[in-house]
Amino acid sequence: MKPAKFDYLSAAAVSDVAAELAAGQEATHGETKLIAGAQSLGPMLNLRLARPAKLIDVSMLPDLRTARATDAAIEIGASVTHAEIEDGDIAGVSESVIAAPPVSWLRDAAANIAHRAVRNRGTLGGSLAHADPAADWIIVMTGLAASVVVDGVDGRREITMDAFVTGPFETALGAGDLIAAVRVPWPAEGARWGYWKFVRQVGEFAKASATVLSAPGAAPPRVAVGALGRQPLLVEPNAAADFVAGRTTARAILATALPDRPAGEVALHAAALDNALAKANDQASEPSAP
Amino acid sequence: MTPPDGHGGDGLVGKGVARPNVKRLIHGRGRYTDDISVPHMLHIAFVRSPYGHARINGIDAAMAADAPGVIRVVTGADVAEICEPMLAIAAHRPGHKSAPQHALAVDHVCYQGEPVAAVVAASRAEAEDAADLVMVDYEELPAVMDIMAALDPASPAIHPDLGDNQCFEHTTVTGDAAAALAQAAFTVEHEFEFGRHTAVTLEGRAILADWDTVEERLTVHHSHQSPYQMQDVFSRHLGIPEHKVRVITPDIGGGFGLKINVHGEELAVAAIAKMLGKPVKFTADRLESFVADCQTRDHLGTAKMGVDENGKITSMDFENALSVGAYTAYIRFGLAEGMMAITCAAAPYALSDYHARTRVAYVNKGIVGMFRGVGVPIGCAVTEVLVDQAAAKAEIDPVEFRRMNYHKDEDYPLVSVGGYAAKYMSLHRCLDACVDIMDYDGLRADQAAQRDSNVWRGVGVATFVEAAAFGPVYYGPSGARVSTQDGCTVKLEPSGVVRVMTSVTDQGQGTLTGIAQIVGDQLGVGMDAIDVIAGDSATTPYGGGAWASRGMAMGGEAALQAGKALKANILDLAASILQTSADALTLENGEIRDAASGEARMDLAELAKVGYFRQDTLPGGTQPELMVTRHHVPDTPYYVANGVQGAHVEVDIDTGFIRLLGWWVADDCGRVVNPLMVDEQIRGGVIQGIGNTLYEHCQYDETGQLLNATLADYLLPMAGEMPDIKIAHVETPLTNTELGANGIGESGTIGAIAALWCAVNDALRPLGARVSEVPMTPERVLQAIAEATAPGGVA
Repeated sequence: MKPAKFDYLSAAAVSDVAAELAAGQEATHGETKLIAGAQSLGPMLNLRLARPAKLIDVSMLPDLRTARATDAAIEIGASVTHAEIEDGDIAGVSESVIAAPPVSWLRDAAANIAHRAVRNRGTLGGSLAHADPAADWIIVMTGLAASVVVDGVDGRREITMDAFVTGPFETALGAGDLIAAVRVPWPAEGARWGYWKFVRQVGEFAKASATVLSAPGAAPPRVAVGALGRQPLLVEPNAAADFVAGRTTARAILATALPDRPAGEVALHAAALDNALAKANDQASEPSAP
Repeated sequence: MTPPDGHGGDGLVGKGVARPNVKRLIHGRGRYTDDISVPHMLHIAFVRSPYGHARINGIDAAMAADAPGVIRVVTGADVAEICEPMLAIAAHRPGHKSAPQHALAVDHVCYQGEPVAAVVAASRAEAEDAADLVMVDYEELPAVMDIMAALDPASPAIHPDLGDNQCFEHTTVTGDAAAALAQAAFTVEHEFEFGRHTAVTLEGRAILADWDTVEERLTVHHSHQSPYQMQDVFSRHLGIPEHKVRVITPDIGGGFGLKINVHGEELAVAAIAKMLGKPVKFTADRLESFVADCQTRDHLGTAKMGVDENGKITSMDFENALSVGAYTAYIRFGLAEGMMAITCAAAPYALSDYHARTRVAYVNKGIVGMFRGVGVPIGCAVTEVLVDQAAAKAEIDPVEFRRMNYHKDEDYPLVSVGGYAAKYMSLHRCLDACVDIMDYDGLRADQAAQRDSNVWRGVGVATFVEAAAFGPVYYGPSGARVSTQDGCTVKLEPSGVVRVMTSVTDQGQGTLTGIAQIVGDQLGVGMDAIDVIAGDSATTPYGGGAWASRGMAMGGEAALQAGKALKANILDLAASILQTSADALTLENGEIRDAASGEARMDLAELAKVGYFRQDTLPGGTQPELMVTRHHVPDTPYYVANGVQGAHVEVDIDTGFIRLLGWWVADDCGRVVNPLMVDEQIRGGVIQGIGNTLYEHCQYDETGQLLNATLADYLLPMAGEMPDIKIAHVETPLTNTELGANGIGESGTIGAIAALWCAVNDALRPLGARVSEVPMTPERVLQAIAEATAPGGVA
């Protein structure tokens, strides 16, 4: 379990990354990959499932290590770690922002990612780029209608989460792209949120997961189902509204949306959806951040 | 509570003395095999089969041989030139079939991960780089993966010379089970599947072998449970006189039975050291541990139990089949998993008619070797799940039903229907003790109350037996060179302190602490005056090492007898010095005292000084003998330990999630030498059993690929999910030995699978559902509920 040989560069500025990625694209001797916390790529290197010729470490890039609040959203740098989110130890935003949704919701989600040792190293952007179907951030960010801010060869662009994850371990990222930040819109006044994942053990990959985001009187609720071995399923708005209002069941929604899945598996995902809704309904309405 | 340090001599046996070596280990001062480096040492990475079954048409190692740092690429054929293949055929079991297994595969690979070639390089990283460059021309062959398919004579034979894939078959018949089942007031039946799992020792297998080209001497540091066994294996397979082979087992991070097996790579490492005349090291990484460590279980079964109109179990039929992988694990035979399962089944119960068959199949999976419990957990779980089912059908509380059906205390000694010979089992006392500490009635009341609010809790109570310390009656006739005795040497040092050399080995159990306690009591000295040396085939007495829960039962008895003999010698010498008779003296608190008055006459240091330096002061002809060796050989096939476990669970019927609410064990392992160590053994064993039942599973696909060979995919029991485990001791000293200690290492695991299975089925019983496969994944639990509650289901 020793990785094959690779070159390692620690990036000091985003511009270094772009130049190196461009150079890597032209080189013929192998792939250049970005690395941050190495919690997914590290084992893949050791198992020699990934054999990049060059790794560019973006975990220390200052621009990627902070957050900022705008009128519409909070933008969290891609190299902020799960542990920093868990602890609310995020540079660039005020304590009131950290105490309120959606950051308070993100903190809860972060606290249940794998084990603390993984959270100490693993990063938000790294998790999204890896796009493991069972991972937490891809379902949570889909559920929160977030988008991914990407710096590419043609400059900066924003990709909504439902377009970002294109399949299992597949994203819309192209060669030369670097995730700069994740933009999470402020939830509506009085919004409620529930995220629930099914794990038999602390630290296990989720067998089923779901999110519910609803705000009485606002836009239709947003309901997402994860850990499907593919990109998250965003439940169609009318069905989501019926589900949150109790007019239909999780099982009925999933039987329609996932007709080919075995009954036992559908039952697990339905339990996840029911639990996510129950969490959202249990949650006292919290004021949204300014 | 601070455990006593054992200083003071008011008796060490029975006290929870802390392990003297723990502080060193937690300070990072342990010395494991991989910590040892010697000059000019080379590293090995193995090229392993990516196929479940394939022919090797050729190996091109030219590119690898030229890679940076590479010294040599060694193929299976190269090793076979100087190393005999492993082949064990049980002399006492006609019909047993086994195929020769080369240290590294020659021409033919039979499981994914089987070692094919070794790359020897200056560093492990360079060896791994070059292993990628070894080009093996494989021709894939059809893989036989399913146990029942393998037992079909029409399945393609993995080893064509054997004719088919059946390794072994055995039927045990007592009375007439078919007739008794037909006459029974009612019968119950259950199907079982026990998934294959693996040991997952914290320290992987590791070996450092060094060949002295001048003296033609092999020195091996080896993470292994038996240095004596490996001395024998290296000597015979490599043609080295035994006194020129020395195997040292330094600190070891977990064995669980895995490290009593002989793995091909380890034999190859010793062969390569001899071939190159250089020290070579191999340490299995986690991926290699998953694909190439000996695995365990992988049983199927159907069992049926007959009960009469009075609620008495009359009869049982148990049909068992299992796979041992592609070979039988050397130096044993691949028999024990099945034989122990059908022998120990029904052992606690006084039924009269029994029929059981075990069939052992070769499949293209990793080799099944020794592992904690060896087949007994299977027999235990099958029996206990049936007993619960029968109790429910008889509408008798399962605890009361057990009490009605256990052997009676006056019936011992006895041989159970499966052939399990017991001098005594404290079944009734253990059941009473377990029911008491678990508040059984309280749990039942809670269960009934919770069901009204759709909370499904279950209570499982399971009886287990542990056959420990297997002796020569069992292994002798097999022809296997398995040492079924253990020895101990006790030496008084000149300053009055004591060195003990034992043949038992310690992989973390605390065995050596117990050995020190026993010797300390014999010599009247505290723990601070005793050091124990183990794990060196050249210097310690010959013995078994660690297997079959023998540490205290056998090694402890040898230590007691050696200590006692040295005490006699000490008193003889003291009598010479003091001009009195040995009978008039005692040895207490490190002092020779007058037996009558208790007055101190001299201390051990003074005596040892005379014995070693001032013999001139002794009467002529006195020969002080201050070092003594004694061995212990069991006089029965094994010693029998027993107990009862209780499990309390909650099953979420929407998710299939099983939550562990509580766990209790009442155990009788004879004389408890060290309650702290015994409790750790029980708790560790229970947790390993819980892992087997809920989480652990080596999942192979139909082509022989192991699908979950990482710790991200293979779940282990973790502290966060484990229940508090409360323990009660029922202490019936073994009558075979003076010490009276029995086996403890496997009890926790043996009973845990049964208790948990009973508890989950108990929770689901009102739904008409029962689980028939372990590990009990949520999918399987939901499937069981769905089948039972579907229209036309079993409910």
